[in-house]
Amino acid sequence: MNRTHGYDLLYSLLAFICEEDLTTRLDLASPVMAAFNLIAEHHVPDRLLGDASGLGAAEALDRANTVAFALAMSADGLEEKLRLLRTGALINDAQRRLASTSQGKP
Amino acid sequence: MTYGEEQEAASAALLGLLDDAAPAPDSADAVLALRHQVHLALLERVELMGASRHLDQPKRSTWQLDTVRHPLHSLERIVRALPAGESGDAQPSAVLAAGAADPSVELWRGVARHLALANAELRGAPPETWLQRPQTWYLLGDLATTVESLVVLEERLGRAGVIPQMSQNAYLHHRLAAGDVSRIAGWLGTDSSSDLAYQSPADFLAVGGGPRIQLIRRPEDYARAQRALAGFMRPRNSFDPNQAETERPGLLAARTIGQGQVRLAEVFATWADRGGEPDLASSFRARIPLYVELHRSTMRLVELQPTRSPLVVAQQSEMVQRARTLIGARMTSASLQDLERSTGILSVSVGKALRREGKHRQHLLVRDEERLDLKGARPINNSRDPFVVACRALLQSGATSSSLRGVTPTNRRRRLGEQVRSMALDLKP
Repeated sequence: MNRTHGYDLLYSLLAFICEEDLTTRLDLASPVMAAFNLIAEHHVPDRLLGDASGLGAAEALDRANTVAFALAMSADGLEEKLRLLRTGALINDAQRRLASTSQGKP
Repeated sequence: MTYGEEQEAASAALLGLLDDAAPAPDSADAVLALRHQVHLALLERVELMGASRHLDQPKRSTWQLDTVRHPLHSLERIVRALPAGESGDAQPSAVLAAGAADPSVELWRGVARHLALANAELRGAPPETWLQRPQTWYLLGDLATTVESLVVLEERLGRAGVIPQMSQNAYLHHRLAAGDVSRIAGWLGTDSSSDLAYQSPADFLAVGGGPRIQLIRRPEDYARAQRALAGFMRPRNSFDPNQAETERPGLLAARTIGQGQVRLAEVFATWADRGGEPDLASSFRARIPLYVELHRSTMRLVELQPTRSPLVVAQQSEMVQRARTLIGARMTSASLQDLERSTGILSVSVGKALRREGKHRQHLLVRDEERLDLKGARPINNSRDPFVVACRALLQSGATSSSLRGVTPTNRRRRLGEQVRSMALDLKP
């Protein structure tokens, strides 16, 4: 995967979760917003990728986790690797929160 | 100890002195030395509250000051007009530390010590925690009552021949002026949170000689940190010599605060639930959607020049990092109320500052639907823009903050005020 495209995709996935899902899923807000801030501080794509929208929170988080992990594995610098691993951990936290509330529902 | 506790102790000692007879003749020297320390402590308080820094300084030639316009200077003039007396040349540490058999001397010592300690608590607390207008009026109320009590005591000492006596009219005018300030302060001093100010120099981290970051060591520090963060949202001259420009909040500040405050609101609500304050817990939780909306509204924004906002980022980061270790803590009801109030102040500050950057300064622009960069970006000139709406909602949420209940006992200060106002002046016909 092209790294720039990977970052664009990760940014877009997190941006769309913030825009589309957080108003109804406030429990996900803290980790998702933190993950987005980590990426947005160092990379802003030219445009949002359309294929990242309309996925639903679970699917978008799953994809974001995969992309963050792939980018972390191919990162050259330690700082970038740690930042991506932290992003992945925050996405994992959001996934855990999502799973726990889904299980709680009848 | 907090400022409020020290001021309560000083008021208790003043109450004792008002009930007390004149000091024994052989204690006069000790009383004069302590009285001198009381004068110094009051003048220090006046200076601490910014008498010399006010842009609106009264004219020296004005004989009677307008107590509404110049309350602090009115009190300063009263203290400076009191007769000097013979105070001796003893060191303050010797005067304030030694014990004495005469209870009257001990009471004077209590007043001098606790006023000096209250000054130290105020001086050591970040100004953001007590310099808001309703807070300074609250402090002025304490100062005015103390000055009025001192005038009553001075008149007694004058009658007893311990110090030179002023005319009865002078005492009357001083009491009227101090009483006026006290009464106005009672109306305007609606924020008692400055009672919680305390000195703790080790809690601050000055970055590059710049304003102080409030470090978090215990849950009570969060209220101060929220106020410090509110202060950092206001534009200020850059303290970084490499960046000779005014620091203003931008996208990074908005996103960092949005995310950080959501995390903190969860923690604060947990503390409020644990402290048996469900209303406060609801109030903390009510701000979560507002900050989520603020963060969400920045997704389609771009800024003319990237802003770093290092103070905002550092302060918010310190608060979020420490929340992990303090999540199991317990807070008193008073501290929770102060935290809720400071969170309201921050909401207002964030809403105001960001709205100004977007709508009035047009530093933040709405990007083109397709692109995230500056090409095709347009200014925010619509009051229904999600960013403006989110800022307005935050601004309005501050007004719902409840007033503090029972932050620090105030009964001695209240009793002192009532007692000193009810004391007759021995006016000769």
